[in-house]
Amino acid sequence: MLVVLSPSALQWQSLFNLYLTFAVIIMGIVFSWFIYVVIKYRYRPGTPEPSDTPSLGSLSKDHRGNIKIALIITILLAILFLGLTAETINAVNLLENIPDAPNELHIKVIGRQWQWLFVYPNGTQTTRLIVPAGTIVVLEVTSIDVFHSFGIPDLRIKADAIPGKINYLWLKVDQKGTYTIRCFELCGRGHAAMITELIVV
Amino acid sequence: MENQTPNKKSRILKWLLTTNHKDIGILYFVTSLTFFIIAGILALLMRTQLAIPSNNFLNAEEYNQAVTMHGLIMLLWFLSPLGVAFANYFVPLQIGARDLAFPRLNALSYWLYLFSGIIAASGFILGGAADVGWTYYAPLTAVKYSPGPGVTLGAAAIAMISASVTIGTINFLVTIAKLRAPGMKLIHMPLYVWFILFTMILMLIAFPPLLGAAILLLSDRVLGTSFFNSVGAAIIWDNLFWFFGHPEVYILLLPGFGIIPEVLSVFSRRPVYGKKIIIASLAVATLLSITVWGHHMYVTGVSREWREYMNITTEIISIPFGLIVISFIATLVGGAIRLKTPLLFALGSIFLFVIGGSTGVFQSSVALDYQFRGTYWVVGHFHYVLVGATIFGLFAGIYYWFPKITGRMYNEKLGKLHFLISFIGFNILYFPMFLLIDMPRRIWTYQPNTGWGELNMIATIGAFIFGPAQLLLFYNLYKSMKHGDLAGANPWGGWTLEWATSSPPPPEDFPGIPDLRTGVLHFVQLDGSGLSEVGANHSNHLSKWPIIISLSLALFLFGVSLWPLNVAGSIIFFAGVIIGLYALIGWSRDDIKEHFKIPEEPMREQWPFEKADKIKLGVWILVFSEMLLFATLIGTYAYYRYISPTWPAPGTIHDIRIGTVNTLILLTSSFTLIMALVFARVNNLRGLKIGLILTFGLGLLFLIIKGFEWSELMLHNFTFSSGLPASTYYITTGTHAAHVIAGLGGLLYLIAKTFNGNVKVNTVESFGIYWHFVDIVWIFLFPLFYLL
Repeated sequence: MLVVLSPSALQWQSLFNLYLTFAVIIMGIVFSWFIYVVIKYRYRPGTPEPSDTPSLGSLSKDHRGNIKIALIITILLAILFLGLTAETINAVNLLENIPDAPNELHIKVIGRQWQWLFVYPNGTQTTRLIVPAGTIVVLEVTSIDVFHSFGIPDLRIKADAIPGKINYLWLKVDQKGTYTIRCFELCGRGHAAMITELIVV
Repeated sequence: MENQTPNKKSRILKWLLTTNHKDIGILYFVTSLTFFIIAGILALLMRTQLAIPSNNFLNAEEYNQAVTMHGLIMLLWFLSPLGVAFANYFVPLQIGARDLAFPRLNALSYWLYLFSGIIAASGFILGGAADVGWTYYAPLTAVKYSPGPGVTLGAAAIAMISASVTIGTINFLVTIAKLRAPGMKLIHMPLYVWFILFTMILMLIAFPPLLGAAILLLSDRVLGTSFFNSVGAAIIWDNLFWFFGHPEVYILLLPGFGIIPEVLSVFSRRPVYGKKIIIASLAVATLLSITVWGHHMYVTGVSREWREYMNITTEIISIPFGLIVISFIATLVGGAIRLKTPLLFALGSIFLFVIGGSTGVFQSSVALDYQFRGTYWVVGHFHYVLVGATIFGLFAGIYYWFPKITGRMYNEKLGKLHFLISFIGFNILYFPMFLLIDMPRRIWTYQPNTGWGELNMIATIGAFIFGPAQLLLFYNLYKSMKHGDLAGANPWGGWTLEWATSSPPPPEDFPGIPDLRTGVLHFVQLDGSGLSEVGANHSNHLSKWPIIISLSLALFLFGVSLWPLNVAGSIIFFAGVIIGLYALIGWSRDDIKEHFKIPEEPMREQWPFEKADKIKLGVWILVFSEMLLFATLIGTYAYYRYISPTWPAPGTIHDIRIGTVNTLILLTSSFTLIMALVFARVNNLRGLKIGLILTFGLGLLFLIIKGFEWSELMLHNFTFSSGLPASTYYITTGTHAAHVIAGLGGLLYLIAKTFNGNVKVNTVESFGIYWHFVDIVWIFLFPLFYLL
């Protein structure tokens, strides 16, 4: 899937890559160790039996385990997760703080079974979202019937469309083109067809 | 009839009436696998539909039913109950007990579970099953948007299985607390029992809010209240549902995951690594799991601070699970690993859990969720956890314990083949979903220009490898049950107590009381204490009431669900009520006449619950779950009042004087009950009778006044359908009134027992806990609805 050069998409992708890097490293270490252990300690004829096999009905005690190792792993993971969370919070700031711009365009997005409606400041209503390139656009997402979810996957943005509630998204796309808009919450029979386009002109 | 021996009854009748934990375990096992097949076929239908773009194998309506019922059945009627099947069979065995603490309640749990599943699935033949997604998001569930009976039947089934789960929870918690073999301190319990213990604690916390939400939704759909079609409904449903929904993930995972350390250590011949670390991790994860539900709501528009808090807790919860996985793998170090089928499934489970868990960390990120929410990435993630880690873990349990349950060995070659094909098919099926990062969940079709065709085709191929591979399991079990080699008592050389008795174990589980106090197992025979006699009679503990009560509740809920559509509904409804009353009276009679007697087990390890007897401990746990139920109802009320600009002022609708009088009446009934208890302690039967009858009279008076109050309100056009002030008032105080009615039933039971002369002080005390609780709830409701 192509990444669009919008601020949200770039920010999302770099954060995803960060998570992916650590996930791959950790999975690599765990799986290597796991496979090594299974192969190394596999029973073969002549392998000596472990000396500490419990006997039937013996009370199991905690005589294996090392609390220090557990603490070290806890601390390492905590540092990693706090780092990832800090990066996430940075990303959220960018994704959610609408930049100050004198000419930002506010458009209402209304979900209904099974269509998206867009209402522009001058009162015009459309079923496709048409915005000028390079402009900051603020979307005010809501619904007039059931729970929908408004998403533009190419831009990596999404907001639930909930009756009686307005959720905000902002976007800025420099490349002219057409991007797909979909509904991401099951909203009835027509859910799959609740598709329209973002057209950047 | 309760005292006849089973060989006089037909085999089928024995299965219907049994209260033995092993029989009920087998019933759970067979039933849950049947639901697995049903939900699995639904999955194959969906995968067939999605194999190619613009397919017309299913239409949108059919697909939505399939996707909803697949989720509901897999989670509530397959995964969790298969875990309960093993817990039923092996928790008493592993702690050295002869049965669960309340055998009849155990049977009741099972029958409620079975009938609730039938209600949920009956939608398919009654005009369409639920089709709103298993998460039941409001307001799509409102009658206006989903008029068919499916959603109502689904909600009724969810309410019923919540009751089943709560009863089961009480049973397991009391069993683990009070029935451990002498010498088995908590720390000595096998890790499997620890995993079940934490599962039960989580169930106790998570299911009452679900029950509350289901009651509110049912009342919307049946009585016309407006909980989940008002402004704000979507958010309140999200909160209630996910407060249940996220712990539910661990509820599903832990019973399967708990089998893994057993299998790892037995097949590598080494004790589990870091038992205390694993237990501590479980405790931390259990605690954290009720603080992470917000990560399902990142894009609903809730405050940023709240989301960031949920982000942190969700990331942190990976740490205990990381420690558990590391301890699992470390268990193998230095062992002599036998790669038998149970171990292969256990290793597979760990492998897939690491992938499922890591992808879960991605989803904890508020920012990354902007893309993941509602896509196939999420579907891939939770199937790695729930199918990969959980089902593989449970399958490890099937192969591991099959010789114990049947006395025969399964076919090892077929077992290994089953693992190999399942593992390969699983990854072909679910891995492509991580790449469908922009494909919405629950769409019944997609266009060719989306580029999703190839990945979907691969996933479908995987599904048709993974799905049919399960036939190998069924064939293996079926064949080996009759023709497998004899297993003997301990085929794996295990050391937990289930291996110290024959395969299959006798009805009373052990040849005596397993005594571990010296550190070496031996069996104590207690002659002359009457215990051996009870032990021999143990298999005769048959009762017809659990199945009849469950049937009556099923009829009641069928009637309720069909009421708005069908006159026949009311007939079914009343039939349910009458049969239910008949069964409750029958159950009580068995107790009063002591037809069904559960002996006190001597020499039990009970720390830290030595002082509370079984029933009292059970009632305390029940009260805890009821507290959460009322918290759910009161929380919903408080939320709506908070966001509503126009709520009627106090005194305008509800008459404060009537409320005050009723409050005083109910408070007085608590005092009369205390009086009764005082008389019971000094063995003054007459005083006890008077106290109980007075309490009953006051409770009845409360209900009569309440009925008068309601009918006045209804006459003045304050009805179920007059908006949220009416909805919240009627359902919250109505649920309370239902508890008063249940309390009156309990009082009648106590009065009958007193007249029969066999009431125990403990029973009066235990009932008192419940009754005072019901009064305390009213002390909260009165100001909330009348004064504020």
